[in-house]
Amino acid sequence: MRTMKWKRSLAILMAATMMATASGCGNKGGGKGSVQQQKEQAASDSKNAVYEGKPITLEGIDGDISVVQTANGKLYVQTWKWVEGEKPEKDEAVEKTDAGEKAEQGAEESSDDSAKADETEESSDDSAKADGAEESSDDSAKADDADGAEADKDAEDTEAETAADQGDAAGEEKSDAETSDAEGEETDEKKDAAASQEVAVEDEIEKGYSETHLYVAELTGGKATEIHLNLPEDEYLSNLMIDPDGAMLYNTYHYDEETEKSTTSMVKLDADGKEVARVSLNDELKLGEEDYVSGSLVDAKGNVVILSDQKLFFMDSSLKSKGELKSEEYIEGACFTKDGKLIAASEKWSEEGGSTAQVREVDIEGKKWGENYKMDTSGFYGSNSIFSGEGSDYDFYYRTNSAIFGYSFADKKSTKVLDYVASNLTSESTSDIRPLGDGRFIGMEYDYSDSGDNSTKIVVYEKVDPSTLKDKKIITYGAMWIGDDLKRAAIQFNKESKEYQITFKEYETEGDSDPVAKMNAEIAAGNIPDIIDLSNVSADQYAAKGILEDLLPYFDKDPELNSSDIIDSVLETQKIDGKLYYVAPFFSMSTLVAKKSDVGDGYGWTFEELKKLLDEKKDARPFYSENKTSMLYSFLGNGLSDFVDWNTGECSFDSQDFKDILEICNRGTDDEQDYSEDAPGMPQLIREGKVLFAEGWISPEEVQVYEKMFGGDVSYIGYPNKDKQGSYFQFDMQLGMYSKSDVKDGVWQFLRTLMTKDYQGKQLYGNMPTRKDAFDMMMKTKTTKEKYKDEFGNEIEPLDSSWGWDDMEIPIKPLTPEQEQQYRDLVNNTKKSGRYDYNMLNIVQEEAEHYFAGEKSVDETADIIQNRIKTYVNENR
Amino acid sequence: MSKKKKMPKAQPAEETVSIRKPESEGAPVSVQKEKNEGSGAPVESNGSCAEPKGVPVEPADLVYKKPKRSKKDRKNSILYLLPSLLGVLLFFVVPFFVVIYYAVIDNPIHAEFVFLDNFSRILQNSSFQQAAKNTGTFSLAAVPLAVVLSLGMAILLEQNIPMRSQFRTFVLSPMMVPVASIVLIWRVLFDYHGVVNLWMSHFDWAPIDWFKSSYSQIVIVILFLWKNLGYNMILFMAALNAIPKDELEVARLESASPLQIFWYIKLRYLSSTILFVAILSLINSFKVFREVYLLTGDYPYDTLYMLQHFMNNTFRSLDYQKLSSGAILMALVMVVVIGCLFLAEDRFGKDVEG
Repeated sequence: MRTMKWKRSLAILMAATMMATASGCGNKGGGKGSVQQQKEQAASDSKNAVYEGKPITLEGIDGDISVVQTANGKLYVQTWKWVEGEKPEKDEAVEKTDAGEKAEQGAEESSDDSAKADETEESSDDSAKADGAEESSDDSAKADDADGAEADKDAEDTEAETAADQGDAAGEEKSDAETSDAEGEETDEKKDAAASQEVAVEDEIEKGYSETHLYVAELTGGKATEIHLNLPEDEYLSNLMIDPDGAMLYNTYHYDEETEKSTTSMVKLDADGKEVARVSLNDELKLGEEDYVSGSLVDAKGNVVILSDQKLFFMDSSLKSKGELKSEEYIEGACFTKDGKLIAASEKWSEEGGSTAQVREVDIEGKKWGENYKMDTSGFYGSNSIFSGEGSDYDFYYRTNSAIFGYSFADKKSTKVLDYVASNLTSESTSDIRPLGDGRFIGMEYDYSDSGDNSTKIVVYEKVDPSTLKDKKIITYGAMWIGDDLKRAAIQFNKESKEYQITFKEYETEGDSDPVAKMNAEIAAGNIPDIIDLSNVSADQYAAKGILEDLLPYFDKDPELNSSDIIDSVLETQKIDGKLYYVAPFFSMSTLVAKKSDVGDGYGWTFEELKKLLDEKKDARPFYSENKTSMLYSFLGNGLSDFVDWNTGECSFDSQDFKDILEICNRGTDDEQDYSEDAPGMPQLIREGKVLFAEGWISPEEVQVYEKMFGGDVSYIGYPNKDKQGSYFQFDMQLGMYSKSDVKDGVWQFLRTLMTKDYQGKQLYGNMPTRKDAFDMMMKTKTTKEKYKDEFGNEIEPLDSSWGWDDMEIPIKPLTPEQEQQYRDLVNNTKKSGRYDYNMLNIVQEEAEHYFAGEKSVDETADIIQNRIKTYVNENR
Repeated sequence: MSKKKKMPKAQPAEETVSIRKPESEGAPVSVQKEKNEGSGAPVESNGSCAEPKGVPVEPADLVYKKPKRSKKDRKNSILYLLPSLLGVLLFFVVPFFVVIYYAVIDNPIHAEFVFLDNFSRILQNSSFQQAAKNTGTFSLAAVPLAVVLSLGMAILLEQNIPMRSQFRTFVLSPMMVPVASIVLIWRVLFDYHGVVNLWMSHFDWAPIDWFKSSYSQIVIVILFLWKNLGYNMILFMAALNAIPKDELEVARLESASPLQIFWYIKLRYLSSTILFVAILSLINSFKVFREVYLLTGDYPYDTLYMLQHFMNNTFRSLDYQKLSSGAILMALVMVVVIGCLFLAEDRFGKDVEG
């Protein structure tokens, strides 16, 4: 009996576990109810991580702010300024040696103050040190002779970063920002240096030089006091550190042209800016020529840690080397934790290609690595992206590209502290954001929009009490990945809307191989985002499934927008069965260009006409590339649906037309296209009549290119197909609305912002806008012959550049009225949107390969293609 | 000597003899009931000796204890079943109903009931028809072949031929080869530039593109047989060994020809095994999709286009309605087929099974 009871209770236990897991799975799997729950959960997570920024206004600042640091409760601001004209002469050599001597003196003086955490403690018996100081002063004397040469080296190094995006460069690779508790650290040292050096290199004609200033101010703003630096010529600050006494340390480089040696030094200044010590790191730390100091830290006792690629160097407060530690991975950044432990951050790359961020403890005494903590993110954002957790519950903070997290060693847990999107911060503001040490954060905001004033602002972020935040309705925005433009637009919407908040959901997370499949799977499971990005999927397919909402009624009801605002041919193309399922603010066009004398002046032609032309011109080849497969793609890429009747399911791949195309392609070669320098370029061959067609994307500038290439005898006839519609639109940023969303109004509020004249008219540097008036504005910029200011206040200069194509140089000037008309006609006559059907193309290409290799006859190949595609078509009908 | 035991009619008078003891233990007495109702009706028994009259028989030997289940026992048994039951419910039954739900709505987004529209649409879909036809002809061709050939091989390898166990190993080994290797080998053999075509060119025969012509089904049937014969053969060998030897002996003594022995005795005993092997081969014939897919991809030549291709592709293009209704149709067909097989077996093997 007792055993029966025991068995029975075991059975009950098992049954209960099964029930619990079943219900648990049910909840996670999600139906409509739990999607709402998930949204709310994410929203409440983010609500706790909202910070609001207040800019700090400083007076007395000369120049543009380049680096900001906080230390000892004060704000240290570095600026740089470009001054035109000749640089005033200075007695450099004298100053140099003076500085060197002063360094020695200062060093001896400070030996008395060993109790204070001073960096350069020189004991009198350390004559080697004195020699070192002398040496470094010699070095710097030598280095003065080097001029633009050093600029070259560093300009090269940093040009890469500063090239593309100004703001982002601040946080990139080589420059790091580390913060430790008492000392503030630098974000980007190189930026101001590079900027000045870069300009010095480029503008040899414009004479000028850059100035670096250093100011100190209170954190609340107000008047900034300048610390006068008497920097030696062409020296710039990098990795500025401030110790508790106010003394400053920085790194600097010199490149000696004569000896072709580069020296890295560390210089110490006292609180008034006078140079106190200078140590050559090449000597002290045995740095090689290629070793690059990416960051440095100083702790409360004055010991220095230097980060260099994959090594950490330790120095004591007298700047004497205390050893080094190597790392297998590149060291992204380092900081001291709340308790004063040194930790270093790196990203570990796995074999599959993904990466995980990890933080390791450093045992300074023992020169070895301690425990390793894995962060649950794939990488850090910005340089020097870990910071001390002083003044908070966390041991340290780290920065990712979506938020700042706090980490506690005790729980081994990360908590989101500052969420960028929830705080309405765009990428321009977040590459630099750091904790202040009292729960607040500080960062720099760059305003690079055309209407902004191109300046940098210092902003302090304070936490917003989550209970004061109104619960806004959540709109999910799902896409493979979301570009910066759209993110900015969405964040702008979040700021302005009182009712709605957009959250992002990107399907292309690191290491994911097939985001389209993932998106489809989520849709199948019922987790459909409210705003759907249709760029990589077929809008037709989604519309057929009923996922997308028809937007024409929204256009009609909108007080400001109307569907007639969109260019007619664009609207026609976008409509599916008379309904509009997505908005797309910009478009581009792809077509085939040929000689007007050959093909006439139409906007489309049939395969027969193409064949006739090719028969006439037996000695010319159709495209520049002679490779059979690429010719096949060119001909059929956009025209496969010609041979398919989707209504009846009939295919005509066994028709003579298709076989003829295969034969034409077979006249090419199997070799890969020879793009060597010696081969005659395309423009030349077209001029000679050896190549008949050019394919490409057409923008107003391209009109000029093709006109020159074809010698004025140009026709945009397009690809051949039955409907005689040769050119194709391609739309950027296709966004659709989920038909069963419960926040449709909110979604429309956002989508309509993309179709306003305001939005499209301010981005006149990319693809063509789809609104008629914005399109006209764009055309005006391409045709204007003189400078003018547009209605948004942008200064527009006439086109004046030149493009090269092989041996042809094409000057790009404002378009003539005829060219403008030609372009407009092309836009108005394009009625199709390009959509490769990969499945069909794959089948055709697979079978055509056999034909091209000579294994099968064209009839057999066509039959097999017909057979296989018929199956495909019927399946999908 | 008749093996059937007839209860002498005199027995009813003595029925009390063997009954009393069981009563004291509370065991029900079904034997008693039989005797009462069927007095005079012959009781069939396959057994050995007849009961001598008058000897008191221990109730424990005769009585088949069919315990009557108390409520407590029933509750216990349900509890023990619960975990497995939950598993089956969760992973088989519930998804089945979900599929039926998907098949009767038009769209997972709008969820409007359209009942049988999906079914009619899919029946008219020519790709589905093609797939069903291919799958049907393949199974129809392959399954009987598999059963018959493996039966033949089992009989053959039961005889005392030299190297018997080595042959058995040879026949069984294809089952262990992983699918990827099989695909590789087949491709090497039957590709347009493969070994078979090479061999054919020696005889000046034109090379055939095996996978892209109507010969493709032959190739796949060969593949299927090669893989599955071994397994079926073993099942048949086990069943052959289970046939009681004395019946065969008797038949031989009564000068029955080997064919008669085979047809009347062996086949009857094998009938349930044949049913089992047939169903197994039917299921395996659907699994051949795996090799076909690896050999030819998503959209093969139409004679190779099986039902599973159809389902895969509709799943990928998010067309769940077609998928679900296709699946249900296929399930219905399978139910019918297997039902028929069961009926046939029942009739055929009835007299040996009892």
